[in-house]
Amino acid sequence: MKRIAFSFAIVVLAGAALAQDTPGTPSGSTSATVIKGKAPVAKDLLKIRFPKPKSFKLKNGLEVYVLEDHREPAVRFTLQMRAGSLYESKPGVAAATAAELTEGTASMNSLQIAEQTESIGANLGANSALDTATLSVSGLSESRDTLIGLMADVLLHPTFPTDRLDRYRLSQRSGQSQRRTNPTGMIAELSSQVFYGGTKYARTPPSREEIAAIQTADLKQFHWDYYRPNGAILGVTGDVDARALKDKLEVAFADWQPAPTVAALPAADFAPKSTAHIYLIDRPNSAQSVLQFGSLGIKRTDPDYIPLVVANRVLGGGSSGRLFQNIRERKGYTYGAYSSLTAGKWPGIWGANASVRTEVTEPAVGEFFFEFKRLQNDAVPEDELTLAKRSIVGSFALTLESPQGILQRTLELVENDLPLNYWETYPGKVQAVTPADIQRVARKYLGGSNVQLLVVGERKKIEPGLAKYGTVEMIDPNKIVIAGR
Amino acid sequence: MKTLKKIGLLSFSLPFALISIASANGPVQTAQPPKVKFVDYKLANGLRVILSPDHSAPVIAVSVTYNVGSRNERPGRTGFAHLFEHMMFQGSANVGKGEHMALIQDNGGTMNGTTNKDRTNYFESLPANQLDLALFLEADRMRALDISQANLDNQRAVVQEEKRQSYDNQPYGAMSGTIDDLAYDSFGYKHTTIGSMEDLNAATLEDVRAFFKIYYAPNNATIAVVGDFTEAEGRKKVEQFFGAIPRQPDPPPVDMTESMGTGEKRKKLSDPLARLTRYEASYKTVSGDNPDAYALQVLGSIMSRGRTGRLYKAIVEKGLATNANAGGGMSRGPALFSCSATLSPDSKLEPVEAAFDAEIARIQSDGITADELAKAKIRARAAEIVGGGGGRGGGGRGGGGNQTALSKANALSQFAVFYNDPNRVNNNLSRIEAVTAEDVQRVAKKYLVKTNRVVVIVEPDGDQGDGGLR
Repeated sequence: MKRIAFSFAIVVLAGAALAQDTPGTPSGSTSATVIKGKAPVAKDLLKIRFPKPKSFKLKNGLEVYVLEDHREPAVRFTLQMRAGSLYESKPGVAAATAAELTEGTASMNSLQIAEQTESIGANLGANSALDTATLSVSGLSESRDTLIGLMADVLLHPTFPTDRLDRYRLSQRSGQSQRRTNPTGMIAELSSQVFYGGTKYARTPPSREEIAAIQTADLKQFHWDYYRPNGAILGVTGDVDARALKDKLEVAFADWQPAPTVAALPAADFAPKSTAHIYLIDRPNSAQSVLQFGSLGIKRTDPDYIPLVVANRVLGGGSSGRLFQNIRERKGYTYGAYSSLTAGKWPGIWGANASVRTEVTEPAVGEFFFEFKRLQNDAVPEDELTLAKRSIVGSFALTLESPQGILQRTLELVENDLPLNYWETYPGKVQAVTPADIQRVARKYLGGSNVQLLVVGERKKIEPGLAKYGTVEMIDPNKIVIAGR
Repeated sequence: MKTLKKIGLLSFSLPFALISIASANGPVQTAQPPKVKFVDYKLANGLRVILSPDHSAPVIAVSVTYNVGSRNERPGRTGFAHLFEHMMFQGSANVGKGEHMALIQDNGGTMNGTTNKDRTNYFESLPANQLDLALFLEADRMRALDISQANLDNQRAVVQEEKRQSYDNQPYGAMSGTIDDLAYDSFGYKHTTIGSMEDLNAATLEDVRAFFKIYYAPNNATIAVVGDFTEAEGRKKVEQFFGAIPRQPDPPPVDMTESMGTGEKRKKLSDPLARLTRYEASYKTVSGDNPDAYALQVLGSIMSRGRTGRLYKAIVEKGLATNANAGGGMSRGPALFSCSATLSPDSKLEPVEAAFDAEIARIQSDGITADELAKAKIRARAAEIVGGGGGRGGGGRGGGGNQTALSKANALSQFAVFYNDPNRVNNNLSRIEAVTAEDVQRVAKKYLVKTNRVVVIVEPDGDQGDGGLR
């Protein structure tokens, strides 16, 4: 999923139903910024053209995109296959298959793979997400052939030895326990449940019993079914020659056979919530309340995408966004308040978040709702909108420093079936967004009952304040599950 | 976009640039990271300037490192250097509150400021046609910071939230501060950079004014500019924006006197936010200026890096802990070499500590193998060029250490302030290459002794469940 804006979490919004009154909020601008206008700014935006990666298809159907960059003697391979948890029939199998991919092959045991990897200073690892499993291999370009050999070996001949699977089960237990000590980790898990609960798109961590039930045979079967070249994409950056690479990959992947069909995504027609909820995880001794607002958003191909990118920038993109300016720079409630937008092959989330000290939880929630409403009710002033667009288009120049960043921009188009000239027309489309467009998408996604509020904090101190904004539903921190509704 | 510059293996003439090693591929030539070329000079007012033109992307980066960190603070004002860093974004003579951040972001750039024990830095990266903007913003706040009680109160609250978010609301959040307090003798490193709530509350406008005057002078700073500009242009513009800022008297020296520990110190903390026990033993070592610092880096790599590292075999593989690490930082004053582990849900502390101690004892008595040393060195080289730590589980994403203009600018200005040696960006690896097996054994014997360590253990406190998986 493409993620825009500053970091972590999710969504957004504020419905009229939820936020009738917003205690203590001023009207008009809430920005703390004072513009003196004396600094020398070059008016022109640099015209940026992304270099186009070279692309080719192997005989087995694997699509390869190569961005040559000979500045540093390094090479990076990222292989994405349609082998994420959406396709598993037994909980936890997709993640275990990815994690155990590098733990043994027909010719090398776990330790030998590690020895070979470490002796050339390489990185080798695999992990899985909802849609994809990713195998990443990187190292010095002097070891290019060894890297390709390692990649092909773990991909084509994994053995998933039982002793390593035993270790994996143990590490899953402590890993889960650790994740649930971190309030932002708890929020991420909860938000997945709130917006996608009851579907495959909710990332429900497997239970202890489910982890215990994962067997070597499950991994072998999943690997056979889904680790296939058709539908997969290999991205390569660094000190390589695309033509020579193609020949090497044909040889290395000669035995990798396509599947009869490419796995299809499960149905992703999530209904927005019919009512706004406040979900609270009690965390005694919390020094802060972690607030996460969110609204079910859109797919990457939705025509609302570009207006939402601009609206998100105005609302909470970076330190010049309204949320940061109001809640941090005026009120001092938080170290940072941001909004974020995810959009991919299925509807993502428009979200906003902050960690605030426990005592100001109630007024901080009020400020978020105030900003959501302001975006719906008042046209964004022309100068503020102009700067927001400028920041979006202007940031392209910095992407050119990173070959992986450039390649990622191309792969985003491939994955979402967008035209390959998309980035050439993108600045013009951003510039065309009007104040009315912003109000329209703000109402559509932040209005009514769309906005859900998720909180991790100390219940006894914050529940009464939260209850002023809606019904508070308690969530068990040891079993973060919300059924579909 | 400009043409990417091609750098071949044979373009290097440094003595260490071509080395043969035995690897899985047999003897091969080993590439080095591209050399960072720069000029290094001072303005009349004492500002040190480092310029590194690089036309590979239409980007410029500016990094100003001030020679002041929390080590310069006095008792009763902990956290002040960092609070002051926040005040640097609150406006100056010609820049309004928050305007700096807005100007950078609205023009497609990124920026930040960071504070640690040893220094405070401010940096931005922008499209190349905004060099004037970046220099103007940095110069204006170096010359004439605009401070007010309202902004101080606001940023004090923000910093206190930062402390809550990053420390007080995190499991193990009190651990590093406790270790520093026990390990160090002098105030400079003994207290945390984030400071105490009481001291933050005590900070006054007068403190801000005095701190600015003493430490934020051109003669106490280094500016590095990297990216798509010419040297002539850089020289002219830096003089134009910074040349007239007056020099100030040199700041008072910091007392960083530290001696080796004379007896083990232990402390147990109970943490209501933690769910698993964490163990950390910290040994006092040396400044990054001392060659032993590089031998200690190699030692840390051999102990804890990767599936073949000693600690993985002795601790993680046996299920005693979920992770086990060893290694030290590089700081201006004496660093700490730490051995740490987060215990598995059912394991006990004693076997974990015994395993760490046994591995240290083994290195002290038997030394390390040639193969271990070779792996540590190639990992260091790969980490600098490719990024990632080497080994399995590494994602292989992210750039090498010096890839962006901004990371180069930050490294150049920091190395100038720390060691009077910006060229460390180019010779770090040769320092690692120079480490011998005997060096590693020697530093293990010299520093990793029980009388020279503090041990801090954090145990979960309270009944909050186990995360649902026990």
